[in-house]
Amino acid sequence: MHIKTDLQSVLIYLSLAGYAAAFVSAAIKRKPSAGQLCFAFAFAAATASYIVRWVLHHHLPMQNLFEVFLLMGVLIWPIALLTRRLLVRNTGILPAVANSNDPVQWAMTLGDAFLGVLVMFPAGFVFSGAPRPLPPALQSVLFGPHVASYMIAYVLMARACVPATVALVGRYKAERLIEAERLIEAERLSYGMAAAGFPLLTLGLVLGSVWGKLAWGDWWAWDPKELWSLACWLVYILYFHWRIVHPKAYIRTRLWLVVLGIIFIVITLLWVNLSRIFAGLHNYAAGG
Amino acid sequence: MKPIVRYMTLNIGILTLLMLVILCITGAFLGAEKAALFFNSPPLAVFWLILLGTLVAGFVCWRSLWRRPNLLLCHLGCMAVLAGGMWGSAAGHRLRQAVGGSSAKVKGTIVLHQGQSGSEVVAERGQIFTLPFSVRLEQTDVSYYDAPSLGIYTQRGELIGRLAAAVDGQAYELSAESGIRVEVVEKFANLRLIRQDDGTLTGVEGDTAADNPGYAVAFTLPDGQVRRQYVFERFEPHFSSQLPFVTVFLPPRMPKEYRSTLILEKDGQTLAQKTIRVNNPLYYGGYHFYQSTFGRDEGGAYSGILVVSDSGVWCVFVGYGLMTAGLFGQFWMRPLLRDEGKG
Repeated sequence: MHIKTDLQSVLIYLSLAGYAAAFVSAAIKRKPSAGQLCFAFAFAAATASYIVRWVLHHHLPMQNLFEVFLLMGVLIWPIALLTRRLLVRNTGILPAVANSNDPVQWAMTLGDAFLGVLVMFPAGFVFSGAPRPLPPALQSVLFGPHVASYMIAYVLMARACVPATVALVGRYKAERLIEAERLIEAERLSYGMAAAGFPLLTLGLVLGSVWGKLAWGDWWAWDPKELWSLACWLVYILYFHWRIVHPKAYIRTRLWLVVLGIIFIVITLLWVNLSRIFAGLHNYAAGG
Repeated sequence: MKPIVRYMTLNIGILTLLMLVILCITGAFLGAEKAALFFNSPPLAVFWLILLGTLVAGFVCWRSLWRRPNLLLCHLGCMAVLAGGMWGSAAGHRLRQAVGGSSAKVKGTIVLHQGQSGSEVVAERGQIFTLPFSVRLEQTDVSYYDAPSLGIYTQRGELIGRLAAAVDGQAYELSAESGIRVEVVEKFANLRLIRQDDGTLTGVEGDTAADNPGYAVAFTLPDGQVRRQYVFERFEPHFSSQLPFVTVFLPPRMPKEYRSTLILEKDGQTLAQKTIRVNNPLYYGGYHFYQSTFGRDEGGAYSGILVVSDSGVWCVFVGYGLMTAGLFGQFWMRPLLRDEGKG
């Protein structure tokens, strides 16, 4: 772990500070507007850092873990705003007016800020931001859509995990979710996020496969990264089918499946890239 | 259809999916090569058939699927991907070969030097397939992000200077203490060294048809004396006993693009021609031709062309299209998350 002093890194640290401030603001249940201001600041700093990276290195910054974590730092706030708007409008799961006393909203805001800290910290202190030119295999029109689909899906799935985790293990359960109805409500919120993210998860997988055919000659190579991605996709398929088989029961199993999904995503994104156990075609994605 | 049968089908489907998750994790720990063999083994072929059968049974038992176009597309897409995958897989080819319905799956490499033709594809296990036409490598080259350079090392192997491998008229100071200046003074297309009467070596340009590039590097010592060293791109460095340094050619290490111009020919007629790159293969007659490797040896530049037959791939891609369209339709285009959100 080391501190970097270039412009791009300073912007990352500012973004990290913004997310940390948003987390503290949510944790002490201050005015939601102050928290939103911190989110906006974190987003602006992350976006500026991303643009600096793009301009300086002349290629879409989605090549390695440093760049995709930075991208996730950019995506968190817009996705939070968009999904909130859609969920309020279409499902009524969330009340139209932000309310910091509502445990679901509180957990989601806390979760967004925590996610921001979680992705910006390694970008700032752990992963190397050293420039690396784009190898021939990554020079494809599918590069941007493939990675972007996955990153948006990952942020949505991480958000889906927040109400599920809170309902399963948090204080929230003891205080407010004694009634099964509240458990169902948390699951509905998780479902809303997972349903929004799943087509993008599929698109990422499909685009990767088509790209594999164009670059390496195989649309499926049984590479460890591919297999973990498929396993991750299948967990969400299981979740959606489980809801159909048991529409009124086993709510906790549904929530566990959402949590399992994010565990598989973390394995696919981090363990497969960083561990030597899973050497394969996707090794260039490691943090460097 | 009785509800119990419908729910049994769904439960079998869920069990099969769970099994596939476990198999995927197992495969990931095996590594790509062993995983490919594992997923193409006879027991797994049975598993794929069961998975496909479960999807078909779902269609028969769940008539409501037929009335919901998005879900219909998702499931049809999955079936197409599975069917295409099984058709084009190594196990699928073996099965079709056994019943006399297909030739073996073609996946292998043709290595060609510039100007050379060939039609024999060598697979990983040494098996040879003959294409119904010949492939000629018209031209091949590689471009790099970084430029080649010359590294100056002490006799203990310590790098003390690096300069561009080009005659740019610039002299570099090796180090402030040494007072030695160094400059690339000449570039040769075919460097030959000739021993003079006094025992020293002089570099001259040889027959330009031959290909042995090299450089002359001049070291200006603090007393004004100039000593030369000659550097070959492809051979061991030239040692000058008068200097305590060795200059080595450092090739560029970051490839930007590999290119090969291929011409497919039969009976003297050109069937297809294309300059292929990574991500941009040539497709002809059921085969894809990919830029796979690039190198240089005594015979000059060569290119490894990966040849893959495309059996089943279009079925898979159609399946992808159906599945993705169905999922976006189901989860995004319908009044977003309304019905499903209510669990």
